[in-house]
Amino acid sequence: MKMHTISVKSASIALVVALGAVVLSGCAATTRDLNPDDPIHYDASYDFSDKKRIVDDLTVSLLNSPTVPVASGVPLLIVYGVANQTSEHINTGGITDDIRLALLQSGRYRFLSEAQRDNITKEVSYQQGGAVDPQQLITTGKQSGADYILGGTLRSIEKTQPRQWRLNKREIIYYSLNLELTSLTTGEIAWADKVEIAREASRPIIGW
Amino acid sequence: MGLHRQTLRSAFLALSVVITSALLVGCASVQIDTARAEWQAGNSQQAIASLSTDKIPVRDHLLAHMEKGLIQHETGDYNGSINTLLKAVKLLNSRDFLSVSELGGSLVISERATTYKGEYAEQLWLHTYLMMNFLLTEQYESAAVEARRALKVFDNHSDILQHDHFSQLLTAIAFNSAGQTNDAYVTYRNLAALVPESSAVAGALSNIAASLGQFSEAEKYRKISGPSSRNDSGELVVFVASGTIAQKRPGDLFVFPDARISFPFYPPTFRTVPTIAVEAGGATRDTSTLSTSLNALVAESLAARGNKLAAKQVARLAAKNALAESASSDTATEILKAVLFVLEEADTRSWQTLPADLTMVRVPLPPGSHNVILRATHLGERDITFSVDIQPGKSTFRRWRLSG
Repeated sequence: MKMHTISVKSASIALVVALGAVVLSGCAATTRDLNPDDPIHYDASYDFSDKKRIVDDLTVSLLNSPTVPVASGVPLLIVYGVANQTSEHINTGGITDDIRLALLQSGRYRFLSEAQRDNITKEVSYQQGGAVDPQQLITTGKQSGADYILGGTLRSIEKTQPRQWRLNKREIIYYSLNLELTSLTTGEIAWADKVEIAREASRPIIGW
Repeated sequence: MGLHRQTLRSAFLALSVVITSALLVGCASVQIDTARAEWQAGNSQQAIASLSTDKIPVRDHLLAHMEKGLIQHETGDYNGSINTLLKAVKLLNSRDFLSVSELGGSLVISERATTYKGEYAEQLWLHTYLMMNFLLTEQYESAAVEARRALKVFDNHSDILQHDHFSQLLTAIAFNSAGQTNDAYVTYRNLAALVPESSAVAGALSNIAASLGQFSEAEKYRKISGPSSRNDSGELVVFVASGTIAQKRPGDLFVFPDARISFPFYPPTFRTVPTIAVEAGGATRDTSTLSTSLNALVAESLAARGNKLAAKQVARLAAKNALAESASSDTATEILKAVLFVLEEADTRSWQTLPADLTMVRVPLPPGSHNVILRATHLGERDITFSVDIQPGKSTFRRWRLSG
């Protein structure tokens, strides 16, 4: 009888120790590297995998497009950004930066820097202030003019499952990014394409 | 002797529960109340420091973010307020589930042991203040993002929140400022259905309808708003916040002499919204205004949760009774009942730095620099003077908080 009591006690201690170990190991901080090419989504909202897909698809589309005239050489583009019309605070500058980088590296397009214009003006003004060797002064009035404006709009439509008895709350989000290249000479849209992403996610209504 | 020892053990257990519960529930309120008192005394920076979340239990973090975000807004730190209120929104979304661990605690202790999630109206006002902050810092696209988030909250609780005309008008203005004319048009139209005679809505709706080629609609709303301002004129929009929102009070319902249910309620409030007059360039200007009583809305929000609250209170009463009856002796049962009676406490947590009313004042002005004087006639006349640069066809935003 005593033997039986001891074995039950030992088993209880072992169970507590095992449970404790499981809980503690679950709480341990961990880090790991991810492959940015693998799509990873924790929930339905916009993430880096979406950005990568948008950038890849639109870059390929633009590079394969025969509609952008290249007779006068390599087209010169200026980026006017992607308007964010979603219900998330998304920095769309990341999308246009990556598209610009990919197009630049392809050698098929050149870009003007709209973001550096104020700094260029400031620097040129400094050079002309008398402190810089006249031999090394930048020649003014030689800036290039853009052939096309690159811009677009990111939109989203969200739908949440209506209230009812259930254990999970489902949410559907649809994103679309429309990008277009507008000729500054004619005002014509020379190229346009879009990427669509639709995703459903569910999360439990009851938690710890 | 054995019975006496058991009773002592029960009493000790009960005392431990009381002390622990009091510590758990009480500490958070003290820290946040201190910050509120500091803000009311004019020590805004001290109040902001007191609301640091490392000093406040997790279940009251939302409340701390709400109070801190609003104080930062009132001190003119709009970007700080944006960061704080976005944290509040993120926290609210991450807690959008029924917590089993908290449910157990709330059934034995009180509702104050649970994570504060805010009344429906308070959840909306997080987006309202974010919209104001983004407009005041000319981040129009971000204001439109918050407008979309606000619309989701409106959709979920439209029966109550449709009375928040200020937030709806702000939503329309945010869309329009971001150049998202179609969204602005739809929002203005929905609001015009609720307040058909408001010139603060009709004037802008008429202009947007005309820009979209809806000329009959433009004419319809032009008749309400009066003659159109010049095409090249701009607009000054002032967000006027007045008074301080009502506080939740605890009420008691004695089911038996030794068992009670405590519940929060808002006492009736009676206020007059201040009238705002505007002078610019030495001349009195035409204005259009639209106000919302936050007192009324927050009371309606609490009332809308009434059934859920009542069901939970009945469950808590039953759970407490079962717990007391399971004690080993009559004395222990009585002690436990007394302890649980004391522990029953109404959850009176609320966002207390909010104003009692929000008023939107729209003033058409010609482009250029203007010295503007705002005069409020409420509890004595008060005024504020500032200069503003008006751009053609655009809205320029300012805010004003009136106490009292």
